[in-house]
Amino acid sequence: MSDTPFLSVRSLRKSYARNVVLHDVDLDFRPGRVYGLLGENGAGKSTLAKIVSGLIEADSGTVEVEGQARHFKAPKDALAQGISIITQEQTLALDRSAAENVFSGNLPQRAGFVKEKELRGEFARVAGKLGFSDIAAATVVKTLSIAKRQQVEIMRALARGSRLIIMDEPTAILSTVETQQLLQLIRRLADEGLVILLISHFLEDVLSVADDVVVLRDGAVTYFGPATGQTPRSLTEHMVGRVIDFEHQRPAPLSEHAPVRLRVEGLRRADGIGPVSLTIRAGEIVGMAGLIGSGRTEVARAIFGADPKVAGTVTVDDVEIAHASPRVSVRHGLGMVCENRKEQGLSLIHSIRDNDSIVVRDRFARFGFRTVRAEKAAVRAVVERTDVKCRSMEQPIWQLSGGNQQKVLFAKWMMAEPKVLIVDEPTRGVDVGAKAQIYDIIADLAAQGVAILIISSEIEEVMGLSHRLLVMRRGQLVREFAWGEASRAEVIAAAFGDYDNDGGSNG
Amino acid sequence: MAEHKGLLRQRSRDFGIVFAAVVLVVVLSLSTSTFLSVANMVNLLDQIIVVGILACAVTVPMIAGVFDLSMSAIAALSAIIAIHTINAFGLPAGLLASVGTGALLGLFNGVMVTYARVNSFIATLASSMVFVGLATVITDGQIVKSDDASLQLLSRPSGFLGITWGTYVFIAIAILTGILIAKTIYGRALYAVGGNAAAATLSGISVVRTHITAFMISGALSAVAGLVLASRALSAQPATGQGLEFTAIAAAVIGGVSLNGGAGAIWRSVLGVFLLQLIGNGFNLLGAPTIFQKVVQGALILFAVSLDQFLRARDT
Repeated sequence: MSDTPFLSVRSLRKSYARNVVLHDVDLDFRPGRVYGLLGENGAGKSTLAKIVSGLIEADSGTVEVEGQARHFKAPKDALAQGISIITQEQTLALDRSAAENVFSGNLPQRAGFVKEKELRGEFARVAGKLGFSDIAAATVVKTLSIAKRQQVEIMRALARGSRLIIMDEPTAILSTVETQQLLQLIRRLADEGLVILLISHFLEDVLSVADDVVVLRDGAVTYFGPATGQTPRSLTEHMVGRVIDFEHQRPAPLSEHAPVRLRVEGLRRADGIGPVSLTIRAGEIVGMAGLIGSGRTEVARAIFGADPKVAGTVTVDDVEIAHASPRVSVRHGLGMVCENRKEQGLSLIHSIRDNDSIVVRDRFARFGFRTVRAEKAAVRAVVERTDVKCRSMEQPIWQLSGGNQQKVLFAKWMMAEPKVLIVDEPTRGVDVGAKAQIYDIIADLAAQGVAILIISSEIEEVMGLSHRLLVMRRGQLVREFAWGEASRAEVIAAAFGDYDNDGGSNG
Repeated sequence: MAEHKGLLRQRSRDFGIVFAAVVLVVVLSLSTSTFLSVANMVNLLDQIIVVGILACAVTVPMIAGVFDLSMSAIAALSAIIAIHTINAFGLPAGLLASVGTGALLGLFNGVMVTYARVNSFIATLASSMVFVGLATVITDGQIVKSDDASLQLLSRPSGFLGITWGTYVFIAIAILTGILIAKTIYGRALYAVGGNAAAATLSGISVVRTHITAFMISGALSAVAGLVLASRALSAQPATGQGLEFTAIAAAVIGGVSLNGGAGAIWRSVLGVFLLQLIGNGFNLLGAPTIFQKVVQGALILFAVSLDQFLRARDT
């Protein structure tokens, strides 16, 4: 550990219109250390990362690399100083080989022709240094898993001679095992003298690897110091100025006479997932845990009719859904908050009002013509109820933060007044404050008699919210726990199952 | 964050096209004595009818995120079938046959794009070759003439200021498609599908049905454009209207209909048609060398699309 910081920022300021997103931020990042960068969405983490990596320019203040003030006008300026960023949206050329991606921009060449042999050698050298033995130089990136693609991005950062790597939510897309591997790698990189800036919503991940933690709230630093001594609870306090208790959450008691609303029997998909049978009663929240790739989302999509099933029945309030499609399912009172709001949940260029009222568009029309006044009133009510922070309900979705987008997605299905609501990863990429509000919305809906199936990779989340917790493994339901019956370790053990015996997860 | 900037950008996009049209009108009024004359106005309107109808037609599938490049092929084939039907069964049957053929050919496009999963650009490019080919087979490559002169009514002046009946048809189509897109739940489905097809599907909208009906509407309206063309010459041939769909799409894009789907409006397409036509009209009236007309129109299209991309650059 060296005493001279590799990177310092001084009095960094940035605002959009009248909105100040960074307030006189002063930070030092020293070689050989891992820094956790925490904060709610909109706290200024991404803005800070973007300034440091040259994607945007600060209004005032300086960025210093090894004591020299530098002005980054574009990412290449930051790269030249050894600063690279790995964002959530991966930036690889999917149709090209791993080696070409790693050395893109400085491929070994002679007279314009790539020296393939040297390229493979260089790739092997970088891969060996990082211990990535299982990616071949010639592998087309498209065929690699998300986790492996991330490794390619890390290799590229190193091949470019980076000395500071910013990772923006790298574990959000990884399974538990992959996350552990990545955290170990981060530690190793820091031990070799690199600076790692880890932006993450997963406080445990950050605490397990970071030397120091930076917490931002409303564009100002509320904590900058060693990670030791901090707990998820204390960090949350720095982030939101208040504490939300996830551990002592308990679902509302369920009446024994509550009727069964959703009944799934023998559901099977063409990809071998299933058979799955389950029932959910009115007001009941049933959680579904399992590794990424265990088939949770696939089962949910088949129940909703978004994907075809080859066998089995789905019954809502004793009415079997025949010729399933999302259109038919919606008519039978099914709803689904899907896992990726940007790709499949919302139309980003359209307004909150358009998105929220699209499922129930028939309700706001007479003889096929829109009745805008009723629609506005209904949307206004649901926007208030879900506490979406927006300028107006005519604001396009892309301008909203992740948490607010997720609330709009929930509002859209609340307007449909479903009998059964499937929610897939309801809090992914959502900050702590919005998370608590989403839990409240789910509990509220259940209290109104909606049967809820909730899928989540955050085990504490499903354990705390659900009356019953189902665990999936290899496309089948393998265990069921009542609330409070199982520990986190037991749930994880059930999800991994015979992991040690057959030497690989099913994801 | 960027809310104010976003709103300003939206507005500048909205008014930019209106502003450009107003400037052109003012310049042409001041620099020529003939521009504002009734005769020129009637002429101008009559010139935009066909491209105008096609621009309204293509706006429907474009908002739903798909293209129709087969519009002139549909116009030609349906006009040929119309004239054959007129010669055999009279005018009303012929008009019905024309619009029916257009809708049917649109249905074919729709099925290719949805069930057969062919990209709309390629599907309609290929189907336009099929349609023109069929037209050539039917006509043996010859011009087909109408026996019934009443078809010519569409291009005759009405009592009011000498505006042609075809102009009224265009105005009616612009109003009807405008209402369809902006005021009905079908219009909502178009926008939703164009904005995010996956999200629309999960919201219970049938993307297949929306796309097929959009193609049927653009097909039927293309047939009407074909009728207008046929009424001028009292005949039709496989090359009728050739290439006009590109002018129509260009006009829609100049007006601000998004190439990516989910955004646009009929008034934008109509304004785009006006703007393109004003340039042509201006060249004529000012006596400028018409060889440069295409250069200016092409440059305008490039400018409009580039501006669109620039203004839409998201700061997320």
